[in-house]
Amino acid sequence: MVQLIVSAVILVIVVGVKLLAPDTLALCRDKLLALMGEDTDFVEAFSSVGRAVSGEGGLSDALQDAYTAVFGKEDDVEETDAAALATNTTGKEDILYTADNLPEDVFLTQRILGFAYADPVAGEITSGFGYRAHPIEGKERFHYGMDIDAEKGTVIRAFADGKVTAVGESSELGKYVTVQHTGGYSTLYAHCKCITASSGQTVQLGDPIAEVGDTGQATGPHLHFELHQDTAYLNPIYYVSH
Amino acid sequence: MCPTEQTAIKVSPAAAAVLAAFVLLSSPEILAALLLAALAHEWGHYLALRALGGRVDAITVTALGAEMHIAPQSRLSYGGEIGATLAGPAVNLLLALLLGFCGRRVPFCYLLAGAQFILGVFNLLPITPLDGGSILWLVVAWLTEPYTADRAAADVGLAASILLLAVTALLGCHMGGGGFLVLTALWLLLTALRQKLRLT
Repeated sequence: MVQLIVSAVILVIVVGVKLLAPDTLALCRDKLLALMGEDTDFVEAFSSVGRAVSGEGGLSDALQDAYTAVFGKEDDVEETDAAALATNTTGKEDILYTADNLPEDVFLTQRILGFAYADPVAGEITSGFGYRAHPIEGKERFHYGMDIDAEKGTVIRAFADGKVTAVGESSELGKYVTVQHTGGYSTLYAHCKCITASSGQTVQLGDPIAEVGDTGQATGPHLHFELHQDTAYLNPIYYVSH
Repeated sequence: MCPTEQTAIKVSPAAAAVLAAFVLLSSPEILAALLLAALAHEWGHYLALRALGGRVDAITVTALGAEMHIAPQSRLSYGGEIGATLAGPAVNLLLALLLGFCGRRVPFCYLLAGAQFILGVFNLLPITPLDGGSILWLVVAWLTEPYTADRAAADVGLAASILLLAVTALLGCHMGGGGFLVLTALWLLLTALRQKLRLT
């Protein structure tokens, strides 16, 4: 009985302090949190396990997300990879980028998307996210997406559930389509031979939306794939098998 | 489990401490998901116990869950107890599948499903205060007798908790995160050590 009362009092005090004076606890809370799980995103860890259980999307993708959520992001390793991908291949001095010389609105770190996803097309990644010598202009430019090599006419599939927000054509991107996903994320598929989805259409993960082509500024048939979060460009390498 | 005369619900100080720590550190949705999973888990045990004819004398809410004390006159067979012990994790895993399915429509359900799954699987670890340890004890006791079961459960629990601590510590050091996992593993190791020492 005494135990029960003591425990209840402790609990009431903690809840009370949290409600009445959140600031006094903030400091001690931050310290404890840093100690307990600096990089751990519990909500994401749990949700990823939930997705793995439901079997939606790849099991390994979901487990990878859970692992990332618990043990933090492999920034250092992945950034080196991204940097290696971004080195130019023209024989000039290799340029490694750091946070200092990145264009605005570009994020190299891995984010947890919070939904199931799959490769838009299967194929070799011929050009990654980052600085590169532009294959046509020859000048050093930032490449905001990744190029996946595939035969002309290969079906491009929606990266995740969402809604087609734009179907268009530009001199640079050629025929392109964008899909809005949850959480402010959206994907862009460019240089398509044709777009089979229509604007406003709701699509599910894996639904065919376009076919690989070489429209716009392209040296051959491939998919130019971009991942955005609101106005930011993310590196899609973490979410596509390679 | 030893029968007690008390019929009330008891709360161990450790349980309140863990709950307090969670209120302090965790986000409300995590707390809700875990409490829901814990409730479903204990509900599974309780319903199975009742269905198998056991009368629950007292429930002690501990840091790791709730211990049900069965009235001595309605003790279950080994098979019955194994069933009742399995019922808790089974309810969790079933709900995890169900909620995972709901998650396709309502993404929040993924969080609930994850909590159910983690709690269910965590409880199947063969370390004695957890269901996995109880099942191990019951199976060995059924096949041999309680004396051997006590020792087997203590040894397996100790080995499993050492392994768990090693794996979490290694991952934690390598990746520089997941401190709470190491802490949980350490706690389980201490519990297992206490069990082992009690027998020698």
